Amino acid sequence: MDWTTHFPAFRIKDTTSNIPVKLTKQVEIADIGCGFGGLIVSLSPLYPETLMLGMELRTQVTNYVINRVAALRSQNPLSSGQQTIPPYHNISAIRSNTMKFLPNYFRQHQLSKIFLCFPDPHFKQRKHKARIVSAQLNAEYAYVLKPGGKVYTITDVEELHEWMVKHFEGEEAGDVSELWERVSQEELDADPCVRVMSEETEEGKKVTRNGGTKYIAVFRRRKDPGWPD
Amino acid sequence: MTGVRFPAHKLHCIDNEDKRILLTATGTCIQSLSLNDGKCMSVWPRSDDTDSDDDDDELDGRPVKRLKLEDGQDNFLRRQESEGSEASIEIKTEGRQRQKGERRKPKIPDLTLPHVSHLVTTSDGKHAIAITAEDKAVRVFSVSRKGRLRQLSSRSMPKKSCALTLTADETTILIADKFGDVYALPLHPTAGYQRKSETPQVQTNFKPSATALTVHTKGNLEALRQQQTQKQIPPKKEGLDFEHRLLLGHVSLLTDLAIAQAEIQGKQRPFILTSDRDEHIRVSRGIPQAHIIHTFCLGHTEFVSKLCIIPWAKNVLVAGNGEPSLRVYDWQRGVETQRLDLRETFCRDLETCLPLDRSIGKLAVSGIWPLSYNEKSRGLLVALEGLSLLFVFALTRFELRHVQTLNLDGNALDVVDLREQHAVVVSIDSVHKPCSVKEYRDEDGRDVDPVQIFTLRPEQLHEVEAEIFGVRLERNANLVSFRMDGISIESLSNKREATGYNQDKGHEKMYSVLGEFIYGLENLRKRRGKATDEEEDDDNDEAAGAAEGGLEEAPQTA
Repeated sequence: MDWTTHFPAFRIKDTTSNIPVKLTKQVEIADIGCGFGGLIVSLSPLYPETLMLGMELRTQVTNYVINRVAALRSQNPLSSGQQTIPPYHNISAIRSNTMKFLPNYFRQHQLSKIFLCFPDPHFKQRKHKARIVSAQLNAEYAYVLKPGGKVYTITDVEELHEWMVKHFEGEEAGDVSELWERVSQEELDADPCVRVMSEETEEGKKVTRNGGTKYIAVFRRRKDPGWPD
Repeated sequence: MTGVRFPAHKLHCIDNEDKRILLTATGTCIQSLSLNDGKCMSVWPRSDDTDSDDDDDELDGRPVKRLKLEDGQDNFLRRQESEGSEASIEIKTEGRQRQKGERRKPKIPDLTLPHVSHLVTTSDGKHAIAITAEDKAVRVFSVSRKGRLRQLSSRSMPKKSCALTLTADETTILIADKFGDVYALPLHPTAGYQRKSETPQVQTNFKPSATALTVHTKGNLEALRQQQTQKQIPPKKEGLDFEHRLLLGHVSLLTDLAIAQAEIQGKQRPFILTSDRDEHIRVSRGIPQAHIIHTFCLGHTEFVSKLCIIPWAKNVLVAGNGEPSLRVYDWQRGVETQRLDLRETFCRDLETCLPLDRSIGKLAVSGIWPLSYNEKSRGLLVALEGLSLLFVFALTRFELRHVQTLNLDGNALDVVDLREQHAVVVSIDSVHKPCSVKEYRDEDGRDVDPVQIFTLRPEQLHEVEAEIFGVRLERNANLVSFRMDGISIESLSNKREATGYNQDKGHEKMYSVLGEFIYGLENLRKRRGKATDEEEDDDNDEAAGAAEGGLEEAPQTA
């Protein structure tokens, strides 16, 4: 996986060596099911030094995000004299089925935030296995998140919200619940990511327009417990 | 016309002081063969109708009844039905009395016998565990000194099982299934186990999952509309009615499962390794912490088909896949130490033994078996699916070296080693032509031994590197010659089944009907470049690309 094409502004500036060029930092925020990219575009100026990756299953939609980011970058070009990197050079998108390939992109404890915004509710019971939150998948989110890192979820489907809560830390989570704790409301109120997630995403705006309710739950990854005695 | 006989597609050997038995799964049966004289000792399911608890050990005078399908058919079937169909719905302990008022399960008209797909034994040889494919049942047997299997329990899993193993203490069965989940079951079902939610199902009135205000895609609107036409929520499917535990899950079909141990902070700790169709090998902590992922062993560009932890070098994992290649890992660190492209390595062998109906690129590793006779005689046997070859490797620290290639009379199916005899038993496909998974043998080609024996050539220690030796094997027909009961596939009572196995010339699939059962790895391959599978194709390339990058900076684990 060549990250330098995604974040050329963060390339290690060493033209003399023959070793493959690497980045000065690694991706820390992943937006799983990023859709049209509203979240990463809005988060980019908030955390200009943090690399963020939108991941989307639909090829067309991913291409749209890539073009959108390219356009934003050309409006905010890098200039040699600048000390800081202008916004939008820290965001990118890839087409991927993250339910299958998340560990192919991120190492253990690499990420500090994962966003699951307005995921497909898959109403039918038969399709529940296809939901992006499950006890099995939560073990993988825990693998790529560093201890203290957070998973942000938001949906306008109450039943899905309840589903996600009980699969992270409730009766359906099984043993994996020991890796997660729900973040308190006070903390959410102070978190700019929560505001961006509910107001700046395309889906979030749609829900606001329709007058729907947004359900938010954020979970902090705990440290791995020690081995049992 | 002589019947086509089932090959012994799975072998397992019990070799200790009081038992010397080779268990073979042959189609729908498990045959016990004596390791002393090769004679068939017993066949499960038995045709004689003894449901009693008496152990044949005490009944020396009685000859072990053979399976006689022609006249024992009715009995055989009735028994099968009671063991198979009924047991698949509830746990059945043999000899248990039906409780008063308990309804007899309706007879299921389909009499298809379930095929034995997996077979293992406990190391003390007292118990055998088998999975039958069609009814998804995990069956636990006791094995008597005379090789007779008595079914102790049968538990039906929710999905088809792909791999079976026991934990190190052999008290728990681990099962990986086609849905990507791994379950743990106690070796023996817990008596008196009650499902957690025994509360009577109250029919809940329909409550839509979403309101009109919810933002929808077209598909979700349709699903919601369907929900609304349904007045009541159907009661939730009942869970399994035996003790079980979901340990972990992949969002992909699982292909193999292995247990391992490693020293962590001065203590031996258990691990579970799982491989899937999407090129992953996951390393998780053992029970009760299987939800904690330790690392991944990535890098495959095709489905992973086989995992093997080397018993004498427990930090080494050898994995086989559908590229086909072998990859060696330091699994604890998730670092690949060698990749061995089998197409390149075996170009020469493959020329003399070209797959009849497949290209070389469409082969997959179907088996990796470690052999260890003493410190100087250790190695690995590797088989590719549907090839009449066995490759012998030596392992130097973290690298495989090819030592020898064995030619077989038919495609390699399974291998067990007889440590005492310095020998390996290889079961071969006596039905298909060598190197074919589709074409049956001509009539005169069917007279081949279904089980072949190779012994170690001790006089030729093969030093592959200073102080590192590999095994070399040679054919040995004298040691013991196994005589299996011919489970003729035509004689099986089920007409559909029997005629189904017969070769169908117009069959366009990868495998013959029988091949579909004893092989099947090729079905895991993603069809690349076809418009219909674009999604999968992309997934695949992306995994390969991402994995390449991962190799350069192998993840460090604390």
